[in-house]
Amino acid sequence: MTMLSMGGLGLAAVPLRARAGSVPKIGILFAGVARRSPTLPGFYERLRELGRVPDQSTQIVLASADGDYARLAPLARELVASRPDVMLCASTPAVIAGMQATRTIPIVMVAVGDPIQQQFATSFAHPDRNVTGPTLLNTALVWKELEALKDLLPKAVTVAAVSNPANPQNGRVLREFEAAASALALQVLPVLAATPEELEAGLKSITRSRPDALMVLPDPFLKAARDRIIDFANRSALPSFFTDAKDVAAGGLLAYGVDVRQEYRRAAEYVDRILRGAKPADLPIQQPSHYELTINAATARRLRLTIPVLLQVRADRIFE
Amino acid sequence: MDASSPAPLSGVTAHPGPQGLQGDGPLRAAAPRQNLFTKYMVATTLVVCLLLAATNGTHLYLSTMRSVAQIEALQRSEASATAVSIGHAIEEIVDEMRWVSLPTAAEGPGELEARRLDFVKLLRQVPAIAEISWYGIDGTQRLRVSRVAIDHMNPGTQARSQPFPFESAVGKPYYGPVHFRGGSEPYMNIAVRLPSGAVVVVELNLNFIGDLVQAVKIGNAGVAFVTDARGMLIAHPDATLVLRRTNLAPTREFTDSLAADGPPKRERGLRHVFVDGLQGQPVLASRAKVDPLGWSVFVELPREEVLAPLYRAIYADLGVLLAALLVSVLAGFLLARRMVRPIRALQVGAAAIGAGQLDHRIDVRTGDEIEALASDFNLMTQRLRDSYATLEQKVAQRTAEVSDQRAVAERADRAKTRFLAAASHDLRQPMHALNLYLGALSMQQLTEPGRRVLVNVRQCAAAMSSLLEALLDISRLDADAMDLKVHDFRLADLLARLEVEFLPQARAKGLRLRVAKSSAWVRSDEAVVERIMRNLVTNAIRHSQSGTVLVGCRHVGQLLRLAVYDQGPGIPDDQRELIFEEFYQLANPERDRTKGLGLGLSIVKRLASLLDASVALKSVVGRGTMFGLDLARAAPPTGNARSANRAEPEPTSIRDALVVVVDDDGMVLKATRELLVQWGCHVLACTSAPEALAALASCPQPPNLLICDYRLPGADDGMAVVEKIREEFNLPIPALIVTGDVLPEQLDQLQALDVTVLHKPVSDGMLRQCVERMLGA
Repeated sequence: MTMLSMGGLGLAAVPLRARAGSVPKIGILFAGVARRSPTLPGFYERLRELGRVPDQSTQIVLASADGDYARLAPLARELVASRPDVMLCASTPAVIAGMQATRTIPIVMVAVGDPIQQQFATSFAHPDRNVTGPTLLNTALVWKELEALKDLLPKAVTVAAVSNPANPQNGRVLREFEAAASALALQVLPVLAATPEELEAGLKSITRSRPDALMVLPDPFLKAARDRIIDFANRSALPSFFTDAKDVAAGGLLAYGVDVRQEYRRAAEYVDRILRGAKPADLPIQQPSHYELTINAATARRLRLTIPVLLQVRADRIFE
Repeated sequence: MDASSPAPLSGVTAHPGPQGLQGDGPLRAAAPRQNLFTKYMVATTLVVCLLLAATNGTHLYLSTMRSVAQIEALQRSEASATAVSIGHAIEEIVDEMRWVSLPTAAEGPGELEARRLDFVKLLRQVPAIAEISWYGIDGTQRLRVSRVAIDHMNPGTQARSQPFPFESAVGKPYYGPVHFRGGSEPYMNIAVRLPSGAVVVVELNLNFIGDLVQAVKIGNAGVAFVTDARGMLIAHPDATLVLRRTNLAPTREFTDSLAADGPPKRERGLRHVFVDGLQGQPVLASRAKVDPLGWSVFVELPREEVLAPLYRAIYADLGVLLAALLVSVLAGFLLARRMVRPIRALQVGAAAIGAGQLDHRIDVRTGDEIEALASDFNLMTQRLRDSYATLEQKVAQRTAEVSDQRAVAERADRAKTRFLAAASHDLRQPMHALNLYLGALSMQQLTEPGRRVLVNVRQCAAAMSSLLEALLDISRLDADAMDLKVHDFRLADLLARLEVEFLPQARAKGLRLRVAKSSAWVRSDEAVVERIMRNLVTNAIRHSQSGTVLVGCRHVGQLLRLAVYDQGPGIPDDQRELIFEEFYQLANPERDRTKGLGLGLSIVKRLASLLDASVALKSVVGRGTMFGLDLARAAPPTGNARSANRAEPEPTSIRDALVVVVDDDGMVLKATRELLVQWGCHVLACTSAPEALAALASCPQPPNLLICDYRLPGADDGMAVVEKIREEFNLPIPALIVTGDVLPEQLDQLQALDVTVLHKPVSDGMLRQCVERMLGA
């Protein structure tokens, strides 16, 4: 597969063997770094399973903001100008940019926290706009995550919350996080970072503040910077909490959330149905039915932490 | 059929009887309006195809009903199995709930911790459980473990509203109504009251039922889905239908709980089997109830798929029908040909026989009634041919007999004619001589009695001469010896001759003969006309006892009628046709031959028809008779045509004229010579041409007249003699040929030679007149 990401501001059209017009065109607006995304391949994988081979029976135009959300709006406009049959918008900022660029081209959202709150749709059963797709519905999960944090670190007092202010959904999650933290008698140290520089500054502030734990809120930019954060946390002997099991596999301590790669697979099914003629307004928004708790036992050992029995029972996967 | 009969049945008119039986129209076979061959073929094909179609149709209907029933049974069993497995899954969850609610070893606060661990384990074990709660005997929530919310361990917290009827019976699970989280995802609460009085409640995500129905495979497009008791869709292979909260109540019966599981209510016939499916298309639906829940499992197959085998069978049957059609057409063709061929052969044969080809044989070897019919036909034809042959043989025989008889008759006729000719000729010579002798005798001085005898003898001779003349005419007519020489001539000469000839006879009988003068010319054969007139005048004189016989001519239209009137007894009306027949005589039963032979009028009739002229007859009995001959008029020639026509010889006195007479008959020669000498002529009588030439050689002057018999011994006939003497003297010496022969070609020659011809016997008076005229005296 020749997948060309959007370098710079330019939109590189994907050359196709098939004739234009007869081949459906899928535009992808990616807020994070598409080429490094561990979840986007799930989309292609499912597409292929549904008989849509990228660059052969399906044309794909990929626009990646590489974590710079300011680029999302112009990318969305360029993407719309290329007249795709359907657009995949990954993450809340991308959906917002996509919806600003078009009200007619169907948009399949993915990795979106709360489409109703963000007014992407009027209801789960009948979205009634040009946006539909699976939703993570993970805002409330921070409660469960903080509960696990408390189980794992009963003496913890402060927890740093790394959040991207450029992501509106992060604001909501942060508020929910603060509410849950106060319920669990924890103090929150918000660390806001929308750029790598801000992130470095934030990490420095964490070093100065020395909280008991570090929580990374779900955001494409922060996802792209995941390795840096994990490295920082582990070197700083900070227990790190994520929402994606992949982050735990990469060295994070614990994650509770939806299998995002699975969500990308479900998004591919939405795209397929829309290309077969379904209207997005008629496709209900799927809620996740399964959340998984993952723990990295090696990281825990390095941090000299003992995983309590309850968490061992609760954990779906424990990485060694 | 006659006109008064009622209108015939259509079948009768459509197949008219044989043409030969109808009054009009030629006797021939009627062309059939419909082809027997086509009829047979169409009938055979129709029968085969109808039978096939009926059989196939029945078979199709029955097999379709059977196939639908089979599919329905399969669907029902699938639905039942799915319902059972759903029921099992729910029961298993209930079992898990009971198991996880068993008493724990720990007491007090530790009990809740232990139970929390058990609940977490249950969540791990059963992914469909979203939340599990524990309620104490007092109805307060003691413990809640959720996948989303943080765990609750707060004894004493009163549940504001319990998601179950708290007083439900122990052991019997309570199934709450299906609710849709976020208005979309189906969930259900299950509560179990434990023997301790505590209640364990789970909130169950019903997505897993979707996995169960997805496993059900019916055909290609068949689906299984589940609704709750209200008809809300809670599980479908296409999850979006569930998430959209589809309600099936409008299309399915949900109030009647008994309808499920029982045999499907449907009337007979395919139309009533199908209901509207979820997408609106007609489907074959089966339903089973999920036992403890009141849910319904539906298994549906689109009608197209249910009926696909039917369509395939229809296509196959159509193919078979088509093949059968072809085969039956072929069979019909062969059969019809087999049937029709001999009939055609019969038809053709009958037509041939009808057309008269009696040697035609119908060759049919079918070994059945048609062959029998054909052989009957052949037998009939054989008989016909035999009778034809017999008939023809008889006809030929009769024809031969008739022609034989005719040949005999013709031979007899020719013999008669020859006899008559010969007799006439042979009688003519002595008759001629007799006349001449009587003429010579009358010149002698006789005694009175002698003179009377002479008169009587002359009368006898005249009668005999007349009889002979008539016989001669008849014989000439019979011999077809008359040849017409039609030319224009004037009647005056002919009338004059008649007067000269018949005046003495009329006077002798005490009659007056008047011949009217005429300057008219006619176009006809003068000789034939003269002979007719002589017959008519002879007749008139013969039948008149007194009065006048008038001969004259008058115009009748464009024609000129030469008429002879007498004042004789007249002819009765009924005899007018008879008198023209041969040998028929009025008033002569005694057959007095002085009254002629009765040939006169028959000769007249035959001569007139030869001339193409008609003979008119008017007669009043007791008053008289008129016979008329109608001739074509001719214009008199201009100038002195007559003198140019005929050179008048120099007037020579009959006395002292030198007459050469050549006749081989010594008697005739002597009589002629005697008569001429009596008339004062110098006569040179010879029997042949050389003798005449020899005698003339010593003669100082050329002869004034030649009288020659036509038939002479030796090479020369009378013509040759005349020519030789004329050559000798290089003068057109007048010549008179006296002949007994009647052959037309000879007459032609004679006329070409400008000679006068007299037919024997010639009376002395006629000869005198003729000689005088020729000598120009």
